[in-house]
Amino acid sequence: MFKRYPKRARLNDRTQVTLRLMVKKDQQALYEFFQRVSKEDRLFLRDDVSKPATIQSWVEELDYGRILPLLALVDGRVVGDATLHRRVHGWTRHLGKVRLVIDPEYRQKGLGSLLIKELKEIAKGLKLERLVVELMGSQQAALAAFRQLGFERAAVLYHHVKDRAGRPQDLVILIHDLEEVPEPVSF
Amino acid sequence: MSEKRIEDRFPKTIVLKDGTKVLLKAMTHTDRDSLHQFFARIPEQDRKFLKHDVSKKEVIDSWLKDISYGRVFPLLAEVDGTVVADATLHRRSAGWLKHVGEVRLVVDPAYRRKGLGSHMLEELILAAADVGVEKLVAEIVAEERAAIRAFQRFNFEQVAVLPGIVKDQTGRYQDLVVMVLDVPTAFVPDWFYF
Repeated sequence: MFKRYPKRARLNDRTQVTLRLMVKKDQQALYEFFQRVSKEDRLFLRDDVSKPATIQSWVEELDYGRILPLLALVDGRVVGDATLHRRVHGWTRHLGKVRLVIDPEYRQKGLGSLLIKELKEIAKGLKLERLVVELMGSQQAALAAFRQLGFERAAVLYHHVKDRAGRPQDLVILIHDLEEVPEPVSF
Repeated sequence: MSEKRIEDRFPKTIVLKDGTKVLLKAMTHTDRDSLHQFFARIPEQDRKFLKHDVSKKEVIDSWLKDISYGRVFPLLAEVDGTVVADATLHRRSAGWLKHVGEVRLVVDPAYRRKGLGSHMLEELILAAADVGVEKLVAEIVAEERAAIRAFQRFNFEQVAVLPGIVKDQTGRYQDLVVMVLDVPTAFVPDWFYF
């Protein structure tokens, strides 16, 4: 089912991107990618990506059966990282959790929606039924983008998580049913 | 300065309402057989509402494979060497949920309504406070009314209901109730509030 990668696609501004699954040798490129994500944006990520050790652990624990990381590359540079997390056992075995980070220079070009569309296809292939996204309440742009991609707000947990600065933030849970046909909208 | 470890409070013996003496201890590799037997005694009606399929021995064995109390702290209750309850506290070493712990609790049907679940929950809350956990979360299938009430008695508050989000062991979709407790940093005596 991963035969579809690597795959080429064009962004709204005609930039050509390559989509493929992350491999071990992407460690340095991924680290550099997260260095380009602004400090303000990094506050909202759930892991501390400013530490090389964080990226190293992702690469070392690479297991597509658990976490599927899809990268977007332009001229060998990582410009987007979308991951699909799932569990083999238990009551969430039919769910896929999605995380998405886009290079600041590649936003507003439809890259996020391109990656999410790919993850939806992968998830359907894996017989998953719903996708779940967890964001902080103050991530207004990301919340709006996911809603345009057919994700609906299922719950808000007041001051449940903390950003990297230690400030409490609301946790917003968004859900998308995979049977529905989403409207393609770019962000 | 030595940091407190979550297992420091245990082992410990408690006495239930009916006089039964129970040993509370951290799970170790040697508990494999008694854990298998414990989960085999949980009726299917209850098992289907658990997060994982404990009828599979490999699921239980996977918990024993890499025991790390900092990540998952499993507290067992034993009566004469038999496991009668299993309470776990799940934590993350980094990230936006680093200050949050998740609690799960399973009690042998023969040991319910004796205050054992409450004892274990209290111990986990105290242990969580010891190591700086600020919030505890419990995720419970909505049909499990008794379990929800038990957590409410410890001031866990229902913060969200996710309709039909989980699929129980029989394949039916169930609503999930998310309950949160702000862990008290110190137990303030009642008279403080007068």
